[in-house]
Amino acid sequence: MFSKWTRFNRLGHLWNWILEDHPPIPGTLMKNGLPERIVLWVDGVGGFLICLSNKVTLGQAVPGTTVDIPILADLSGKHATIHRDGENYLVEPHGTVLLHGDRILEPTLLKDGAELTLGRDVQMQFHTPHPLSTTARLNFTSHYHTEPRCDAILLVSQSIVLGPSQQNHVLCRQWPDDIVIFQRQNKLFCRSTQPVKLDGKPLPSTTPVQCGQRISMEGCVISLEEVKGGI
Amino acid sequence: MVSSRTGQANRSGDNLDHDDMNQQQPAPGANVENKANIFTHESGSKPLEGYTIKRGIGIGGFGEVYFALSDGGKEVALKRIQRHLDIELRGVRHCLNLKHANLVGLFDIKHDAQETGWVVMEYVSGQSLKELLDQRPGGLSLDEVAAWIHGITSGVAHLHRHGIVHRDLKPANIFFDDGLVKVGDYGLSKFISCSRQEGQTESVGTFHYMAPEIGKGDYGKQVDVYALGIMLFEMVTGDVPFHGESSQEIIMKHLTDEPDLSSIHSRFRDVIGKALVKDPANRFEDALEMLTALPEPDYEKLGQFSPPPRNVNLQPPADPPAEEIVDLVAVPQPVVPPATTVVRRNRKTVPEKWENLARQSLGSPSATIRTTGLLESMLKATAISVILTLVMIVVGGIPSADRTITLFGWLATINLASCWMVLVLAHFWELRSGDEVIRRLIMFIGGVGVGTLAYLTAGFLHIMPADFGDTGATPNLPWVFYSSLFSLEHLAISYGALFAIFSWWKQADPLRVHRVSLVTAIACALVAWFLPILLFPLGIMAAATISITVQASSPWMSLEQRQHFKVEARYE
Repeated sequence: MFSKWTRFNRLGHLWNWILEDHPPIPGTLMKNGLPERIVLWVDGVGGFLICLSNKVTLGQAVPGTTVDIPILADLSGKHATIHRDGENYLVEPHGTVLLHGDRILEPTLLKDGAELTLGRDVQMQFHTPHPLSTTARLNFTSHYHTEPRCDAILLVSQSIVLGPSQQNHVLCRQWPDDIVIFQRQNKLFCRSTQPVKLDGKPLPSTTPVQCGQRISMEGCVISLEEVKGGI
Repeated sequence: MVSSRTGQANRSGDNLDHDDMNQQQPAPGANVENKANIFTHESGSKPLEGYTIKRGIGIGGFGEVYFALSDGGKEVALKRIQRHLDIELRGVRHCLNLKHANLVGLFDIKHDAQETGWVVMEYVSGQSLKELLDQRPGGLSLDEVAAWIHGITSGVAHLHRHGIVHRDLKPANIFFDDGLVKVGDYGLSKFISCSRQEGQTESVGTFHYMAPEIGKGDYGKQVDVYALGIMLFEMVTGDVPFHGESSQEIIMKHLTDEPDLSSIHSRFRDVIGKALVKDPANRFEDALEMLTALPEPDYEKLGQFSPPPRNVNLQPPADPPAEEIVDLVAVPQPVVPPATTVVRRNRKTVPEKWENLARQSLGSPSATIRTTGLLESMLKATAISVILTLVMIVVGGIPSADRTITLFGWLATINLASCWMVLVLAHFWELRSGDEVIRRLIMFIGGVGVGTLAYLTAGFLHIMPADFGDTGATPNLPWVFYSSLFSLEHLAISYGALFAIFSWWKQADPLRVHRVSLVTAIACALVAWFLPILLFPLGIMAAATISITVQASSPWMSLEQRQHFKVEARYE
């Protein structure tokens, strides 16, 4: 049940199409060597669910679920899908989805500040805060949360910027400077103007970061955890 | 509580660093703000059996707080107690079994392999009031403020009800989670005050909420009231009332400066004013009292907030109480329209919850004490009714002067019998609000008894209508069917009707609104005139006499006691 747009998009991205139509079980390693979902635990700030795929599914958090963003709410098993196409994000409804209060039936473009309602009252806000990155952030604005719990969801295209400035994907008010985590050649790297340590040792910028490791800078610590399976 | 002057110990605890844990004293002038996010335990570690740490949440004066998952998957916050272990844990243990929707729940106390104490607590996911105020420098909307302060004060009131003083109320300790305001960090270290004055690395922010008497080591509940007042001020205006470059300057202003309330909306001005009085004795006594002075939040206007699960908002806080409470705390009615609707709603027949509580308490003294109370009322009634009957005779005027004493005795007897009848019945009925119809029926029978007594004593004393200057003519009223005002049927039926028409027992109810209501007495008099129980003007005067005597002689619950039950009712 693909709309015209999706089909077109998929023909344009053949490799993705192959990958996406046979999605790996969440948590298993993708072909590119990175798990699909990672939680970024930022001390003193919060937990952030990182989705690296161009297509993420949202649905009810039930045991054995295969959706990327399981939400502890009365939703369909697979309630909506968010697609990324270059700089654009589209939301494809499978269950009841409202955009700015209006029901949508077709894949619809998401703009910065879009307000999504899934089901009866799961409200989320969509943001692309950083002008130089297409990475998007989804916040819950009603009482719901993902399972496992996180404070926001980051739909990562290339990079995540964490630090004290307001436009960052993750705002860390007390940090001395930004840290950028970026994806290159199927690996995650980390960079900052300040010296960064990985598991307590100075990190050369060429070394990739892996799950289970700990990135620290003066006054801040980030831990990466792989999310395994459903709930 | 033991006071601590160990500033050194505090500082090393505050600046605990993962990399140099064993270092006793960090370099002076170390940037505390940057150290703030360095936690001892990393994500994924299991310092406490059964719990996996996910991330550090924050570091306070007491130690570090982590977000963790139990092996079963329960989300918890873990607080690592780093100093004053025994005293801290004693405080927490004291609060461990407190339950309130507006308090962050405490689950358990545990020790790890190194004998470090941990408090397992409810994980609160929402932002703190401090974070919210940082985002909204201009303050919150009045409706939001009402919901926040109501939640905070309810939580603190619960602590106060259990004899616990929070002592460190500040926006960073207040959270919002799932539509509810939560007060955290209670039961923990209150060593802050002394050491902070020495600690240079401490931020001065915490001094903004410190009551002036803290300097003297005075830590009553009013300390919390003061902090609530400052937070309320800050929520309304976006800023705390007293600023300063140094802690000393802020402390000085708490001691001497009056807060500028001119910009505060009238809805909160008086509450803030009373909470911020310098002398703790003139503040609200505790958070319970302050709660009654706060406006009820309108949860329907606030999508984000859900009303607390308790009945706090289900009933308007007030019967005529709304006015009484306001009078009591010397706060003029903040908003006029809600108050009037509240009063109107009170006309309902279902008793308020606080009334039931109050009635239960009326029955708690022993039977002997209660009977003594009744006898005391009856004795008072005797004195009052004799005096008032005398007034009746003088004002009403008895034509046949030689029979004055006889007539006085007769009237006094009937009045007193009426009063005693009401007092005795009301005494048995005051414990619960019962069926009105049955009570009126019993009252009617009692009235028939009084009328019969009047008839019999009149016969015994040879009292004739002529003694009252009566010509023997019956009053010209359509429902008066009997031949003489001194017939048995007239006296019995008219007295019976007088006592059945009014709910007289309510005039003797300790929970009645006014101690003595002249309006009620006048209403009784009018009914007596229409019946009529006796000739004009003696009939109406007799009814008024009975009413006033009953009201003046029966016990009446003080406003303070009522307020106590009203507050209690909110928590039941």
